[in-house]
Amino acid sequence: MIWHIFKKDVKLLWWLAAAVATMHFAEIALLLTLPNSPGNRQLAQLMELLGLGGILAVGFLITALVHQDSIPGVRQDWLVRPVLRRDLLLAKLLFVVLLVQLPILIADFLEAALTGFPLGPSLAAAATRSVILLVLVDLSFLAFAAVTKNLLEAITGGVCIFFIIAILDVLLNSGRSRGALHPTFGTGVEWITECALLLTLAIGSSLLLKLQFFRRRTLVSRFAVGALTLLARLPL
Amino acid sequence: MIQVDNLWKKFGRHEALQGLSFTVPKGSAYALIGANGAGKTTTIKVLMNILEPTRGRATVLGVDSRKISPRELNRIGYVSENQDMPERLTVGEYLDYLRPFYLQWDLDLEKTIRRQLRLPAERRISDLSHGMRMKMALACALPFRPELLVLDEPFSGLDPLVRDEFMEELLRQAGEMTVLISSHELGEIDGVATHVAFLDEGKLLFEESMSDLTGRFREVHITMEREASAPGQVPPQWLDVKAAGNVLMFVDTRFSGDGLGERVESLVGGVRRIDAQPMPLRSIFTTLARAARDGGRS
Repeated sequence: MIWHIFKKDVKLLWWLAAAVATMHFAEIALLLTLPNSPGNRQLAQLMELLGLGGILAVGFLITALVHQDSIPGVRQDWLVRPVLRRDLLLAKLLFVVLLVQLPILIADFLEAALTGFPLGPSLAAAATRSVILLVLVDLSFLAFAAVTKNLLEAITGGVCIFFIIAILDVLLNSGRSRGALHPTFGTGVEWITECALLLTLAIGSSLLLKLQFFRRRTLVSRFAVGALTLLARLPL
Repeated sequence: MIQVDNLWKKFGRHEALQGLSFTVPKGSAYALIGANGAGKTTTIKVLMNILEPTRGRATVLGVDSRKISPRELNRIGYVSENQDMPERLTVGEYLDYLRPFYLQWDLDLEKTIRRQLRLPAERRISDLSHGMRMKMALACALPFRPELLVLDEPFSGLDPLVRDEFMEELLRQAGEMTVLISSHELGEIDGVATHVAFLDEGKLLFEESMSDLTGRFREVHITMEREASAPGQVPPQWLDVKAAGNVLMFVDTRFSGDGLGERVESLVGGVRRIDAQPMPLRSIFTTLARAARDGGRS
């Protein structure tokens, strides 16, 4: 039933997925144009905007995807249908891979290839970035969307998390240099802390998805989101 | 078909269900009745594994409600007044989507139900009126011929025409199905339900077969030879005792034709005539609800 659920989601969200993919391709088109227009600040700003907007758009798309069959709540029709929770989760992951991440991979590959890099390394670089984005961004958004019922809850939760992180950063960084809190910053072993963060997010998000999709423990999961946020911001 | 044992459900400090126990026999049409907030919907949500009980246990089709899986959901139809369906799909698209999930989905039956309920296949769910949505929910719950059909307040907000269409279709397809229906629209349940359970503030006041219930409740009018007044010692089975002119009225909750005259005569004396009329479910319900509110006698 994975493919069946996936097709339903595509029917409902293809236009949003197409819009998000267009943003990525527009960003790449601008990136390729930029070297020909040095000093064009407006173009550079637009590209920055598209970069940030692209991430937010991915978050919006993934949230909308999960909310098609939202997990918290007691009114959703799918709860009373013979839908395997495993199939539902895998269908959502399939959508993320094919309609969220694949366009990014293609855009990245085109960017590298059109810039003049060989096809093999271009594809490898694009695939590596896609895997990192999948774990760091997509999986986190999936887990976060799974603990919210609708877009309003997701936006409220997102704003709360943003402020928690901002306050935490201000408190932790006050009167100290970045190096004091992040001793590996700018060193040859920084990759270790980055990998640790990646691993934390991957494991945390996966556990959250399992908890929500298979057991629907929303309250516990929401606390876990908070704990994961704090963990991800711990000084390393 | 359904067995509920000492079921409790708490939301924070609020105890929505307080030790419910009842049994829904196979093939029955079991009505859960009670005022708004009595715990009917919570009970149904627990039975459907949408909510987890705080304490106690319920089994549905022989399976613990906490462990209800797609295997059981293949045999349970569910219709609720609050059911979120994908708004941007059309009626036809949603039925197409649901069909493959069920092991036995009768396409001919689906078409028949759709035609009889006059559901437009090409219309988006978001564009359906409340009545049409309820008919849609019914059309999604019947084509796989469920053994158990659970209806949660199916008549709320429906106009009389839609109610009739809904009910006609339900009765047409009911067959051997066991039906659990929660409602406070008692006129619709009267004549359909075979068993009734009355909930009040999360507690079960009684469960009984419909024939026993209607058999034991009578609205009694006693015409006296003089000005009527309520007896000093009202028997506990008499509810809603009133006197108007020379008529004494009450609801007898343990009616048996034999000996009523003698009992009344011994209590109030000077009886000229006794009329004992059967009561519709609505009147039984309002009498009990009033008694429960005023002090819990029934």
